[in-house]
Amino acid sequence: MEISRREFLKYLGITTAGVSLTGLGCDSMWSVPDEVFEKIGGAPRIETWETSVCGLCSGGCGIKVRLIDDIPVRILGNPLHAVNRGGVCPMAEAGIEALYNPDRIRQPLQRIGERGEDKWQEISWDEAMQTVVSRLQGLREKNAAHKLAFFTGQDNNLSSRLNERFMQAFGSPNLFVFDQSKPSTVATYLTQGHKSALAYNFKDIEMLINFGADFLDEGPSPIRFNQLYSEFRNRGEGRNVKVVHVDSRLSRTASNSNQWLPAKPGTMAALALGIANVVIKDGNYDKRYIKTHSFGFDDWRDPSGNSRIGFKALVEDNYYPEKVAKITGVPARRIVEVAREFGAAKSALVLAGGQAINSSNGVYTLWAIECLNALKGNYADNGVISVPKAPPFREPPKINVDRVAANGLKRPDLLQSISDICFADDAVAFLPKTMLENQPYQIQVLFLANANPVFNAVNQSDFAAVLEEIPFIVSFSSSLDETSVYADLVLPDHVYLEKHDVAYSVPMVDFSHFGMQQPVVAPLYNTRHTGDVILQIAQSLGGTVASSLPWADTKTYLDDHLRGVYETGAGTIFSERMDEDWLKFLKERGWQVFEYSTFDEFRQVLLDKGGWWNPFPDPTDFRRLVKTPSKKYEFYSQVFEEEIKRHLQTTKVSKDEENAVLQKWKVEARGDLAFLPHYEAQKLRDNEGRFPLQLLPFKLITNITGEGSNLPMLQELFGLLTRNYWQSWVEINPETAHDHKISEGDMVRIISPKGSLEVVARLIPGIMPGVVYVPFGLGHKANGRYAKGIGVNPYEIFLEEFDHLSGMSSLTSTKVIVEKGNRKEMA
Amino acid sequence: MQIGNTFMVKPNRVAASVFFLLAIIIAGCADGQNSDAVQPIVYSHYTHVEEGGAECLDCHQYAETQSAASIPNIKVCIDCHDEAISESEDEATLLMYISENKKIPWRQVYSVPDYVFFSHRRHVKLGQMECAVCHGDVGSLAVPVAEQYERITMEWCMDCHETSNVSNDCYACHR
Amino acid sequence: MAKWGMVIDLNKCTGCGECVTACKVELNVPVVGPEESAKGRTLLCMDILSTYEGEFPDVKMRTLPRPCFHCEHPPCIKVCPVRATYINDEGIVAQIYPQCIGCRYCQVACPYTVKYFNWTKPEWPEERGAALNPDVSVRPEGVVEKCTFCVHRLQKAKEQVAVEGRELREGDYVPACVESCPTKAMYFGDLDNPKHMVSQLKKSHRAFRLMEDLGTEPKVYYLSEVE
Repeated sequence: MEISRREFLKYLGITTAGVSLTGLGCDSMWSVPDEVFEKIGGAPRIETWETSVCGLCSGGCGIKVRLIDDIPVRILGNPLHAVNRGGVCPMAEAGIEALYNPDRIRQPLQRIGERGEDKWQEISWDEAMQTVVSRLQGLREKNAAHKLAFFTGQDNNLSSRLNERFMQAFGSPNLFVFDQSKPSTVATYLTQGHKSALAYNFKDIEMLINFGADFLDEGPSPIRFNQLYSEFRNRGEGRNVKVVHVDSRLSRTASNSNQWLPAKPGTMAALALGIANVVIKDGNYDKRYIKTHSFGFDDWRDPSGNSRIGFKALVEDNYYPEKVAKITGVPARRIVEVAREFGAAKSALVLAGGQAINSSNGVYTLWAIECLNALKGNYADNGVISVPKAPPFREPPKINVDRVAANGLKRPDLLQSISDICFADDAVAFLPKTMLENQPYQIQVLFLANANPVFNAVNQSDFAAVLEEIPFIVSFSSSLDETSVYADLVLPDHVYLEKHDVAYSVPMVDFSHFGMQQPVVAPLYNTRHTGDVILQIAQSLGGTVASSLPWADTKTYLDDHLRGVYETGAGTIFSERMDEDWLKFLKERGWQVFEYSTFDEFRQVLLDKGGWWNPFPDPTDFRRLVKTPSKKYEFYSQVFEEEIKRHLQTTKVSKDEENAVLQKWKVEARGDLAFLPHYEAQKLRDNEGRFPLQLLPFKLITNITGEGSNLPMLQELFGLLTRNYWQSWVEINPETAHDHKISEGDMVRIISPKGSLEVVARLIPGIMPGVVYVPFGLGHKANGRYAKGIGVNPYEIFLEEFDHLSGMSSLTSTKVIVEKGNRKEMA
Repeated sequence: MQIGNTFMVKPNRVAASVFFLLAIIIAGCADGQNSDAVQPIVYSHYTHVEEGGAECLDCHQYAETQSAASIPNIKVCIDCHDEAISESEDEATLLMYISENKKIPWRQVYSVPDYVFFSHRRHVKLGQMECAVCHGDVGSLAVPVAEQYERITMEWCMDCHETSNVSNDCYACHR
Repeated sequence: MAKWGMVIDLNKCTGCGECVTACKVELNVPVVGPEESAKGRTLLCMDILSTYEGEFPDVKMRTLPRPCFHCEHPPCIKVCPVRATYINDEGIVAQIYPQCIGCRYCQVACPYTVKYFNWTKPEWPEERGAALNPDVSVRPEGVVEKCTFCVHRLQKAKEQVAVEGRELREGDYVPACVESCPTKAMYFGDLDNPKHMVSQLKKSHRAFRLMEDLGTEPKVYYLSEVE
């Protein structure tokens, strides 16, 4: 790449414009105490390093923390960690600010103002614990254990298993996980009858088609994908991976791919099937796998002798490139090119995420995309796709369930009564629907741990309304986020740098592993590990609840699990020479990298090195995993048919009944088509064309979860690439902007039927005309001084549209008007 | 807080934030005119060095291994003073700090500003310099160190560097 | 005498921004807050420039990490009235903060705009206390800040190798951005030492420097993307 002076100045356009000569100095945001001197006077300033795991998203990256005189000053990646291999993202690096955040909760708080008013008084732990325990005892005395609900955020660590265990022993089925990074398993279930999270081995692939997953910014474990994508194009001549990215925005993932196919939002299913069309026509698919391990590829006859349409005929008749080009906006020539390359590749993989999933037709889209993997035989034994096993933790003792708990667990959970969603088990977005009507019963006590739906759900106002009604809410948050301000009691957790945990099984990683989180510094304030608090609550409740959670503290609980790994001797602790070839060499000769004479020794090495992995997973036997009626991979989903039968609680379903159910689940197709992957236009509420543009969100690596907003460093670097610091913006295609008389840097108002946002406009050619993008992460109404009131939250104006098969919120269904505002951007 | 003009002890927020931290370890200051630091304990180097036979490194433990030589605090003192070993009033004060597990608020007399990289290891270990070159014959002092023996100024540093044929590039010391 | 320099392989860089964050934390570069940021006063001694080439749908976004280039003939040093900025024997373009009077001539003279004037007093939350990098000074307000190639690490590395009684080896001294780059896209070393990776890479047919026609001879090389 050659850069001329002219071009370089173009790069700098925005910076130089920003340097102005206005007044010197202004009110500062922060002040520094004089005592700081006292703290370090005369100290030797000795540098040490501790390993741990980052806790800011569910990526579970290994970190090493630099300490000066035992004070943490910087966070780097742990080079031995098998997932992130020494890399960390900006969020992890800024984690040091989480520890010293001035808005951390330092002591249990009790609400004194109105709900959500954010007025508190400090109380003692004893008093707080007594209040919680007596509330819970009250529930159990009334035989109403099920009226306790628990909303948690991340669930990729062992201490969250403790929450599950507690709920079981207590007797409530109402534990719900709000993890945005969790990949959807519905499409896997429809075609394979199991809900295992899939993982991918990129080692030998020649081609990757990515439908909408912005892995480089959103993760899971974004830094791993940055490393992977970088490696894809640096394997050496002839061995590089060809990456094709499908999305309507040229994200960083797209720009780091070889080719970008901008498809209109919500049309990815058509594109995937268009590619399938060419692959099938060319005969470039794994015929052996399709023949022996799949069902419904060719036309087939059902037991009554009726002829049924197969995937092949469906695709050949309906998804020829010219037609797909019309739907998606991707030229037919491009579709054919990509499909030919995909077909010809010895090993190729297809992945999906982002708007492919978060769309009102998400399940069918994901389903269509997964079929491409089936065509390549990736669900056979080629090792590209696998289901990694959990690490061999020792099974904890059985949970004892007393009569009260058994009664509670018998009750349906809050989502079971939802009938207009097919797979409602994980459809947490639908909780307000039932909870607002107190269906099937009213929740009396709610626990909140790291779940912040009042900020990161599209129907956030409904969640707020739900929280208003719950009699007693306990939050275990370490900062007062939008959801926690509704709590009656806040029992603050440590920050991740102050506590023990074990983070394991990062989504999409194809080997089993875990990372050791350990305190690198003593707790700064009067906070407690939520795991310890849960254990203590269990002890105070006594009886079977106490005996099911017999550990003195979280550390003992974790050690108990780790003993299993020690005893099996499987895998290996991360080591300096961790490259697979070396480990393979050792393993083949029956050697172990480390030997330990005691568990304590094992544990110490684990802590020093940061974790454990098993680089040699047994290949996944999909034949045993697949649990469909045909015992094969189903292009035609009989699982879905079964699901309808189950829903109607009958064994024979008439056409009318079937249609009624499909209608309820907002599936437009009828007959065979509904049970095959196909393209259905997404639901757009257009209000007679009054709203001409489509609004979509995107995320940035500088604030993946949106919860990084209380770290000033992340706020300052939020829009690093577009130079939008401490600020939200809207990305518009220059052509679209011109049509709407908007120029670069204008303040614009984005209006949806639900509300409006005011942001600065950035004209970016990497955005599809007709679509506008606003980053997610800012616009907090709470969560401390750095977060509150900075930028906007696009979810506030998103319409509440869902995929009625999976229950996921649709992020592609909102149309807006963009109007030029009155003032120019500051600068 | 009576040290002359050092920015490090003035309870002044501007000074504080400009530098609150770092290499203030070995007291003294940019223009090196410290005087009359009042120490919390009337510490006698003479008693420890001349009478007790202690070496500098026994207490200033890091002078050979770290940038900062460190000013000993209760954790170091307790090695000998785990109980009273004299009838001195000042030892009683020390024992009070130890029993209350409080840091002794020593006043640093020798320090360099934040923007100067000074390393004891480099001078003591690598340069084989005697402590006395900068600090004088501390062992003969029966009263606490109140002012710098040599005024630690940039000029003084550079003169010594010049004669010792050591780099005087700004980045040899500034940062 | 070593000539320190950097090579950034744009074919490996994904533009993740970790170098920028690492730089801010390592060099104690303060956060200036929303009002100051809006005035264009964000301090980024390491920055990532981004640009779009082409028009929809044939667009390419490029990212370019940009530290100070430590030019062999730096225009900035010629205008400094107080010799606060100069190039030292090892090729590092120095900025001596206590010497700087904040006239900003050098900021204007730099064709790459890598010099930043700090308009406000650097401050951190009081809870942060002593948790800054002790190896780097906190600059007073009103001076020009810049990338120093983490010269404090060189100071420490030189001392360390002297203690160990050996010569400085490749990798003993690397700036924070290079150390933390997750994709290992950045290389650092002695450009004059043929054994060092950087001196080999700078001869690559992919190597280029920014605005070479100015004759500044930057010591930061880029390796262009492989199309």
